[in-house]
Amino acid sequence: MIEGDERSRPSRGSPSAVGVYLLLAAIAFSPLVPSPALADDAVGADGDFGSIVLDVYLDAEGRALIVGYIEADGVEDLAFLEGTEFFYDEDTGELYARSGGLTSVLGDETRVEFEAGADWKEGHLAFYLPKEAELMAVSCSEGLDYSVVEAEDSMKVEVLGYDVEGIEVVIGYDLAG
Amino acid sequence: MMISSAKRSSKMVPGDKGVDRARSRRALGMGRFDFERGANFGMESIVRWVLGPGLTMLLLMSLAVTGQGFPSEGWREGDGESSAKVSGLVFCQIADLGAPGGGPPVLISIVRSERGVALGPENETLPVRLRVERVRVIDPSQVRQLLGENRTLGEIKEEIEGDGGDYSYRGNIRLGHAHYLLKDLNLTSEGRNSTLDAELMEPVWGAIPTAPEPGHEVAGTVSIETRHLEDGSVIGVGTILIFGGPFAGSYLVILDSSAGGGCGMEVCPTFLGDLAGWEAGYMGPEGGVPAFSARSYSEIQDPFLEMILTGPGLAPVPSSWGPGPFGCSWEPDRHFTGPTDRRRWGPRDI
Repeated sequence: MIEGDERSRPSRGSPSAVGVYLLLAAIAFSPLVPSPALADDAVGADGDFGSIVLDVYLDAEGRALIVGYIEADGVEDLAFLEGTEFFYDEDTGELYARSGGLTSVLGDETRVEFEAGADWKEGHLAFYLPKEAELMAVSCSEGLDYSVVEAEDSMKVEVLGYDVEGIEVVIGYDLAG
Repeated sequence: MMISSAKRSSKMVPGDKGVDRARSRRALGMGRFDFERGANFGMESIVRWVLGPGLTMLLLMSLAVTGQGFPSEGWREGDGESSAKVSGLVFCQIADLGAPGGGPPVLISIVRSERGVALGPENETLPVRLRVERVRVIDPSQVRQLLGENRTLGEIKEEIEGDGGDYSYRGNIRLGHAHYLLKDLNLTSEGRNSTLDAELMEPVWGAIPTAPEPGHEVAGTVSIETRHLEDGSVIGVGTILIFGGPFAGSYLVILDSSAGGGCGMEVCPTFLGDLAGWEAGYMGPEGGVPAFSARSYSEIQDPFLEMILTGPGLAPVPSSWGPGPFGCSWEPDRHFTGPTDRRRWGPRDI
């Protein structure tokens, strides 16, 4: 009788068998629930864009080498590649691009403007600025987070995001010191 | 805190198990799952014989729906070049986590891209995303030097690729809406199964540090074991420990394993469809006393359920429900889809 009472009482704070099955049920139904993330995925389907993982190396003159991986049906329409010399392997998703147009200079401030207007399932960008760069501002579009870390010979700005509608990153820095 | 791979033996001895659990039951006065005596046919019986198979069916149905409902994640579906769907089967990439250098000869590739859920106590859940990238180590100074020498893009590419170079892994985890970077990432494989162990770092997000940071403190740890089941499906199970902050606690993590940029191709996971291959392998915190270890589960026949129930204790976690995506990234292996050289050069060929 006591055992029966104990069994009928839910065990607070521990995953009971029912709880585990509820979790499995949540997993089962989650693809069916029109959550924002799933909606994002659905949107992303139309553009055939998936992941974008790029490392952007910048020198003091504002020249940039962009290397990485892009999962897309085509990259020609991506804004950051406009007027840029690039190489893209559709089989591996590998991208090499050399750009002089990613940066602009206004007074003492050098500004990097990166834009990839598509719906991305995953986005990871790493900007390697010259080490002497003094960061003035960083802004990212919605859904992206950024962090700054001083690497060995660079100032690294890392941008992360999942299920984002377009990627825009603007980094302002001063090289004058 | 260290995580140890406290795997249980894949060969279980029923007798030993029964003795231990019987002792545990006597010690704690628990008989919650004592089906053997035949007197406890109640809620557990319903759960076991009705809800279990029913929910399993729902899982399988949802996976089928998922496969059809996310054409976005198919790779050039319908263009005739992809084997994304063949006679109802959906393929996805399984990353090559083999020896260094065994992956594709590209600078960056995604070797694991998974999503799932993290379970706290009281059935609280958070969505989880995990991504691991395999990255060619490049010296930024070398790149700047090459840029300064006005080399063509082809020459730069050749120079970077030419010296062999080392590869490393990097990655991140998003738990709820919190991003953590993976540090000291260790990927090991044994047979067809692999294990990911890493420390979690939480940099300052969304702000420019006013002073150089001495280095990020370890914010937690993650340990995920990925298993290839006999039917070809893949599942990742493990733990995330967050030491502080709003997400502090211990989480049981279940991941749907799929990846982009890998080398292999296998049938996409029929997640939870056939768990016969599971032998309750589990990773628990070293030295910790599992909160549920004393309970009796000898009568539970489902090894997956047993694995979860016999896992370590779960600390309180916030009850914020985020979006709970759990769709497979149905990606065929693009290395096998292109019949011809599909490389392209930009406006200025070199």
